[in-house]
Parts: sequence; C-alpha cells; structure tokens
Amino acid sequence: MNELNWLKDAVPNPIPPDIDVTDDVMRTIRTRQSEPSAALFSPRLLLGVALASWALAGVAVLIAQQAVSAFQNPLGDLLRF
Amino acid sequence: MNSISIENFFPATQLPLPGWVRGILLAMSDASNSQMQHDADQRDVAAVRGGDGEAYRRIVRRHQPTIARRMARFSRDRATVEELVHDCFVEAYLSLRSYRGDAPLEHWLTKIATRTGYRHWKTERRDRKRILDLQSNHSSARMAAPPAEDTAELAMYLLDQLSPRDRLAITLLHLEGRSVAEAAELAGWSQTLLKVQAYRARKKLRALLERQGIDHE
Repeated sequence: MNELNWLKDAVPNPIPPDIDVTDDVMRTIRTRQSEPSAALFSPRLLLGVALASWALAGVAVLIAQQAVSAFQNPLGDLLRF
Repeated sequence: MNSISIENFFPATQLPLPGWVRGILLAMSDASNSQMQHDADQRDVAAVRGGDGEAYRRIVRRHQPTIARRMARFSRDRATVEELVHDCFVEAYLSLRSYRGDAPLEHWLTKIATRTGYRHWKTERRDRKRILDLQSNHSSARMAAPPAEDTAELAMYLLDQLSPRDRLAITLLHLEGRSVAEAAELAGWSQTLLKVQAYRARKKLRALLERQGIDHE
C-alpha cells in the first residue's frame, strides 16, 4: 500500500475553476433540438434497414420461385411446398 | 433558493456554542439543505420533461460547481474542464428520461460526469499515442521525460502513464477514498471488476515508481 500513500501525498488536490457553462449548454441543446434527429441516419440504423431489406427481398424471391413452379406443375410442387 | 444554515438559527453567530452543539446544528442544516435541493431538482426535472427548457437552466446553475469539482479530477486545464462540464450537462439532458428520481439528481449527474471524464482520458491517451506514432515515424522523438524535481508533476506524469481503466480505479478508490460499491457504481463496473482493476493498477504503479527510482517504502 506504500505506493498508494506516496501517490496520495503527491497528487495535488484538484482546484475546480470558477466557470459558468449555462448559456453554452442551453445553446447546444437548442441546436440539437432544431437539427434532424441524428439517430435517423445512424450507421447502425442504416445497416439494420439494409439487412431487413435484404431478408425481405430473399423471402420475396423464394415465394416467387414457389409460385412459378406451382404454376408450372400445380399438384407436385404444391405438395412439396 | 433559501437555505437553512447555522447563521439562520443564530444570526450573530457570536454565541459561545459548544463544539458538539455546533456539529448537531450543522448536520441539521446540511440535511435540510440537501432535502430542499432534492425537492427543487424533482420540480425542475418534471418541468423539463413537461417542455420547460428554462428549468434545465436552473438545474445546470445549481449543479455546475459540483460537476466542475468532479471534472477537475480529469483535467487540470481550465478550458478542458469547461468543455467536460458542458458535455456532461448536454448528455444528462439527452438522457433525462432515464433518470428515475429515486436517488438525488446530484448522484446521477456525478455518474454521468465520471463516465464523461473517463471517456476524455481515453480520447486523450489515444490522441497522445497517435502523435507519438507520427513523431516516431518522422524523427527519433521520445516520450517526454518525467519531471525530475516537482513531486506533484511527477505523480501526474505517472498517472498519465497508466491506462484510463487503471487510472479510474486508482482515482475513485484511493485518491477519492470511495467505497468499492460507490466506486463501482460511478464507473459502471461490477465490484469484482473494479477490485481486479485496482489490484492490477497498484502493481503497475509500483513498477512505474521503481522504474523512476522513487523510494516509496
């Protein structure tokens, strides 16, 4: 524990500066609120949309294939489906 | 905001009060002040949620000295502290929905401040590393030499050498003297992780001190 005692003695106590950020904070919040939501264009959301579209397209292709084969060979392929 | 202090009870404060009486009165006044602050915070949080933006201004005014004190642990540069306090309040506003109101707002803000400060250490370290990499590509630059004479500067230099995780564990547990439970809550880690991190950090600190030839026994 000696290294900790050395550190505690050596590290100066932090002196908080006398600051006022109220106006800056309120300005930033107002700016953020007036901007279109960043979440709408977030990379994660875009990736999600792309994946969902890809999955939907895949399902649509499968359905179309089944429909076509059912049309060509109504009994056999419908039973298999 | 009105506050009850020992001077309200005894305006002249020249009364010869025994130490223990003063202690009790001070404790009473502290409890009363924090209750009043908690009530004001709850009112203002409800107002902000109801769309009153100005209520948030009151929250910032009330808590910025505490948050500035917290942020002074993460940087000694005035402009950086100002930026960190700003970022903390903006983040708090954006996540105000997650504040449940069961703990004082100050605790919740302190948690956000600790994580904002920790992120600052991580960014600062990454930037420093990038600069050092660039310098080492272009010249035979070395890391800045440790300050030889000033103990405080040397201590800050050694803390800078620790990883942000190590530094946070040491700061919360040993420099601020918080309990494991409290430190873990502030850092957002489990108590086990914090204890392991603090143990490793102590080992690294000891090695750093030995490397610098500092007698810490």
